[in-house]
Amino acid sequence: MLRHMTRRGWIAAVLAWIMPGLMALDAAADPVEISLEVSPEVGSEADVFIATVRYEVPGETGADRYVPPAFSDFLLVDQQAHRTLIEQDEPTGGHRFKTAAVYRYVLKPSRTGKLRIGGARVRAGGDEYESYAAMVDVHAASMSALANAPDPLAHPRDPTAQSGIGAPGFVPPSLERFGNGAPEAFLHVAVDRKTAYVGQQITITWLLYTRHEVLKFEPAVPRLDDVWSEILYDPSTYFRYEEDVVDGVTYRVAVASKRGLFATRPGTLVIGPFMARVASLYSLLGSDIEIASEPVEIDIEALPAGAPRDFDPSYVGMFTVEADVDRRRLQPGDSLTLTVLVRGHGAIRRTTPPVLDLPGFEFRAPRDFDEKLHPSSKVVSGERAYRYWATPQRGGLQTIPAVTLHFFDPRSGTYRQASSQPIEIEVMGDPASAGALEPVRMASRDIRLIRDGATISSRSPRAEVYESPWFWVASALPLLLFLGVVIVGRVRGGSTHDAMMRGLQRKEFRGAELHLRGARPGPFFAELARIVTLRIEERISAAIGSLTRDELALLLGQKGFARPTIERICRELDTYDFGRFAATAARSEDMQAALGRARELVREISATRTADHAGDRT
Amino acid sequence: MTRHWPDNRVGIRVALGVWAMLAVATPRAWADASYASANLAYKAERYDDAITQYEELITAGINHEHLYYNLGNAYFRAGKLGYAIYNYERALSLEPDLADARYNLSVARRAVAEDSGHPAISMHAEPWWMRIVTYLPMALLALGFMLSNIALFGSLIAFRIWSNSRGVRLASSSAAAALVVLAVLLGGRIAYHERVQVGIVLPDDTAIHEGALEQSATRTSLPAGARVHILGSKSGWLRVRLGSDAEGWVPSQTIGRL
Repeated sequence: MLRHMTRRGWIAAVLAWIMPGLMALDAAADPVEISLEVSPEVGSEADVFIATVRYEVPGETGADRYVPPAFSDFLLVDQQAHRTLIEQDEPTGGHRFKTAAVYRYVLKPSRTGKLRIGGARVRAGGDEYESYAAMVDVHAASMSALANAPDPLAHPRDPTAQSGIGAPGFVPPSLERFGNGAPEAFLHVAVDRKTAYVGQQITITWLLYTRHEVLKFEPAVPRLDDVWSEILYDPSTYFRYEEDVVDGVTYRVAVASKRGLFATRPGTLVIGPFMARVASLYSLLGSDIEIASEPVEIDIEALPAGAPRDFDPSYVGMFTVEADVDRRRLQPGDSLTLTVLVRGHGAIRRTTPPVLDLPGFEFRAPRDFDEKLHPSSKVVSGERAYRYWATPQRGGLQTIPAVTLHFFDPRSGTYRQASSQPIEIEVMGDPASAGALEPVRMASRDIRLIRDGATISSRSPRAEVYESPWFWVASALPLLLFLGVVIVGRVRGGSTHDAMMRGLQRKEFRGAELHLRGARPGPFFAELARIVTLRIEERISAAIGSLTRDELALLLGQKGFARPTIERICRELDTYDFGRFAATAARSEDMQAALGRARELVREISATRTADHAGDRT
Repeated sequence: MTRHWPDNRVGIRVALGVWAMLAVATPRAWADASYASANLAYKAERYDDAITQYEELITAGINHEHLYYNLGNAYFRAGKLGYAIYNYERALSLEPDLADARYNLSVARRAVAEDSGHPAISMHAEPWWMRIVTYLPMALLALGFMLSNIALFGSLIAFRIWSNSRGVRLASSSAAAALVVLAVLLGGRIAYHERVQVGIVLPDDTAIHEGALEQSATRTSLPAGARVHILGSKSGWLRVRLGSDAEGWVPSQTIGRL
């Protein structure tokens, strides 16, 4: 076989042996990286855990196959994936591409104990790679003072639980406070806890109890001083009613408002009555009913001592933090954007940007952030992405240390820490060397010279065009002119219809003029006859084409035409007939004269006050 | 010999005239002298002195685009870009065709962007209707409105008097459509001019608060020279809007009103 191989075949065979080796070398120079991180590593069974898988593979197409970690002891609540293409410069010139992917899993533990999350796997370049597994310590719900708060949906009598909204801390109402008789409607309040830490979420729900369907509901939310408030549920257009029996009376129940409250200082938090003006079918004929809930008092405890040095009191709840950069290779003096993503349950909109003090980098405080709130009727949660402008101060391979965030977990009553992963970057050269740029001095920036006039005097701002009365006068003039034309036209010459007809006649006479110029007597006189006939028919609202002259004269007389006018009409029509059929006898002067007479005749016909136009002004 | 004394009425008139001239000339002379002195201070690179003297002229009621322009330059050289941008904007509000002020304003905005790492800010994204009505100059809108007004009623007059031709009908329809569009744009522009109050952020870094209180939570910060819409005021604070969505409170002294 080898003897019969052509030269091309030999080259192909050699390449077939070499190429995999080259690819393997390439892969070896740039191995696949895959990692699995879980945050937090210690938590309670009520907590949410975030598992993040990151991998980088050479090439633009990504991994051939990805196998997620095994979450056998967890319930997968949510997952997100994100992929980016990274371009790297080759030392010898050219570019190399890598594909980086991040998979994020939101998990709830299904049991307590030390739980294992198996490694994630990727297949790339014919090989399979696996991350290390992760261990998570899940303990039972906290036994602190807050642990004896009622389970949010534990009460079997909560009528709104069926609708999925729920009223955490619901206690069935009683009609005793209303004295004798069952009220038409009332407001009942439910609070999920009577003690809370500063910044811990308190869920308060106001329930509307009504015996009949409400047609009008005007709420007045109580003033919430020293409290940060987030709306968990507000009925947008209509109430979702459930039924409940209170002291033997059947009521319809709906959630009027549900809020997450976060106290901003310790002490006794008093939440005033939620008030509303209500009208129902029963009260429609009477006045509106004013109803109010009972006030609520909640003891707010200060956060315990021992807060970390850089702890921000707005971080109360459960938080995770991630960090990423927009590029990993920089030139001296370049800056990069460090995005810090803070996710969590708590008053996320109250939180402040983490202060970064990472050695080897100069950071500028973020100017803005992207914010997403995750709507839920149970807990306030969301995320914020802060973007920092970061400038490395040294050259070479650098590591942006993990961004840490301290928060207070009210469930465990302890201060905890969330951390991102460190990020490796490479700075070509040394920013501190002579190649670094000096700060630009303001005085050296090029602006134009000052105005150095001999005198200076005050002057008024240039008035806008519309501020001048002449603008409005000039704008009104065309309208006034048009109205003037309309009025004058009506005064002088009949109706709009007649004015239009005059225009039409002038146009029609143009046809006759063309025939006159073209010395075509037959069509010329036919055109004149048509014009006059049409004008008469419009004036008397009757057809005259089939009438004899005598009949025409009779009809015109009945319609109110004067005798001389009738005679002129008949004479001219005879002339037109003669001219049509004896065209050779018509001279140019005769045609010209006939045209003039036709114009006058048409005007005379228009001016005649007939029975049909008795109201026209002449 | 009879001696005739000068007519007292003439004397009084002369005295009044001299007094009037002095009354007008003295402040004018002071203003000119102060202006010249401030310009000299600027050229000698004593920018703080120049700023002080320019500000005194403004406090005295002198309102001139060159004064604001020179003050803007002085603030620029002193490194206070927000104040520089504010005064360039004031100069342009008096004289929109002052090319030097427009150029220096663009330099100042670029300088803010470079120093803060924030993109060059001329205006946060405004509501769409504001962008539409402010796209064309007011004078052009007014001129277009008047021309289309004339065209519409002129064609209607022609339609009435002379001809019912298709061309006249087309002309009047087109003029009517143009008039409606220009009337809406002009009306919107007038509403913007009358109701929208614009301010410029003066300090380098101004935090936006969620309430009119120093201790209220801050959302973000504004770089110097950012343009905001002023919605209201309360107890020394201004409620401002950035673009079409974000609102917050800033101390009144941090905003220069245009």
